[in-house]
Amino acid sequence: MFKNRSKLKVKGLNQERALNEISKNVKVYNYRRQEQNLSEFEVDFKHAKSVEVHLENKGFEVLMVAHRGLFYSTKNLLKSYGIIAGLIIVLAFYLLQYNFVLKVEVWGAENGQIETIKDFVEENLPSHFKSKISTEDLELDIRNNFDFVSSISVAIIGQSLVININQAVLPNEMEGDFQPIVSSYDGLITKINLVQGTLNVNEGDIVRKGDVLVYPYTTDSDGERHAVEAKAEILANVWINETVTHYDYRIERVRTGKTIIKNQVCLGGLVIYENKTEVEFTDYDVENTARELTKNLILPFTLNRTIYYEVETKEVTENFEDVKDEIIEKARAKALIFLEENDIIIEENYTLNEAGGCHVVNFLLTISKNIGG
Amino acid sequence: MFNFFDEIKSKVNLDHNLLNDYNIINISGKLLYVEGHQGVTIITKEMVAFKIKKGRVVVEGQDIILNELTENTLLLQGKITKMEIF
Repeated sequence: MFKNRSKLKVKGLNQERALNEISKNVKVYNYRRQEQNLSEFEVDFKHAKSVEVHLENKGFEVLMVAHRGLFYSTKNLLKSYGIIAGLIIVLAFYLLQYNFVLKVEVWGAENGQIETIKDFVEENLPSHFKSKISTEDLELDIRNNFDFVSSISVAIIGQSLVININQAVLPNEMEGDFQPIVSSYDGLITKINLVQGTLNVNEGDIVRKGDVLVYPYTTDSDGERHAVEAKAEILANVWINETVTHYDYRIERVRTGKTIIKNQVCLGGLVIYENKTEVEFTDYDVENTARELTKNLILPFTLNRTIYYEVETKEVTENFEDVKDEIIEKARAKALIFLEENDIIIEENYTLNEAGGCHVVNFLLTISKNIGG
Repeated sequence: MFNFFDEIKSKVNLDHNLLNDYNIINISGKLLYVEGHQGVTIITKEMVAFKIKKGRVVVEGQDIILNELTENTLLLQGKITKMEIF
């Protein structure tokens, strides 16, 4: 590629003589005799013309002169006026169109707002020519026309007009969407610390779940209401009640410990392997599990396992007094499930009811919690 | 400057003036380099002949190409089977 040589194809008799003459001044490369009077060879590109003239003067017919090499390619390219003209036109067109803004981008806004701002900008652009666009004016126009825009910067980057906005965050008072504080529990109000809003309850009141505690407004001396966000700390004694029933005589269904396992290996929905074990139990529970044996989608093997647990029913006679503490603790544990963080247990007690061998333990947990917003 | 041919000539006890006509070196039967030729007389695919001082050399072979030719050197490439000096 980098050797700048010219290949000549020559026709004529007694070429050896001419070759000897040429080689006195010029290096000859790759001489090949194709036929008796036909041959081709290479010389350096710079000597090609003189060799061609010399051969023609000696009566040889030069059938072909082909050039190759970087120098020739460059020279050839420089003589390709069409390509050069094309490149100049492309360059000129590129430089010309580079002066125009072709795209408007909006950052920092939501989808609907983006389109609105884009339309606004397209309509209000004085020109797409970069030098005629005043980014400062555009910033002012957008800020004045869109309330949700808090701050804005407009810049021309390449051929894009980039509008970067920060949305204004309205305070809740201006949004006007307020909700009252509503009790989420049944309880006795013990302490109220109102921050803002209008109270609907007093200390010592018993409230039910869903009762309004604080309204989201204030009333001035003229009797006019002003919407505010209701805020208050309202402590109340809340009762959590859970029961556990115990039967002195009952029939229970228990597992004996015997199991039978059936496995199935499936490929997709097709069963590849299965152990056909007979289930001999007369009464049993069934549990099914499925596990992927491979982690690819090419061969999705799955193992389906079915476990049969033998169960039996038996009569149980259990005196309540023997398991009383255990039953009470069970009822307490059930009640404690509803306890939340920051709740304070004030009192714990339980009641027992008995009727015909059926004992009901009623556990009552009294807690203090903030039911305000 | 190191010269391959001069180095070889210095190893023999001969008059160097008698060894200055031409030099030919055959490399693996694939390349033949000649110094001191006085013109090519025949070039075909099977045979190349050239003049030397006080004689001629005929090289025979297959697919012979005259790889490089200057006023007094030449390089042949191809399967070289025979070389005769007349």
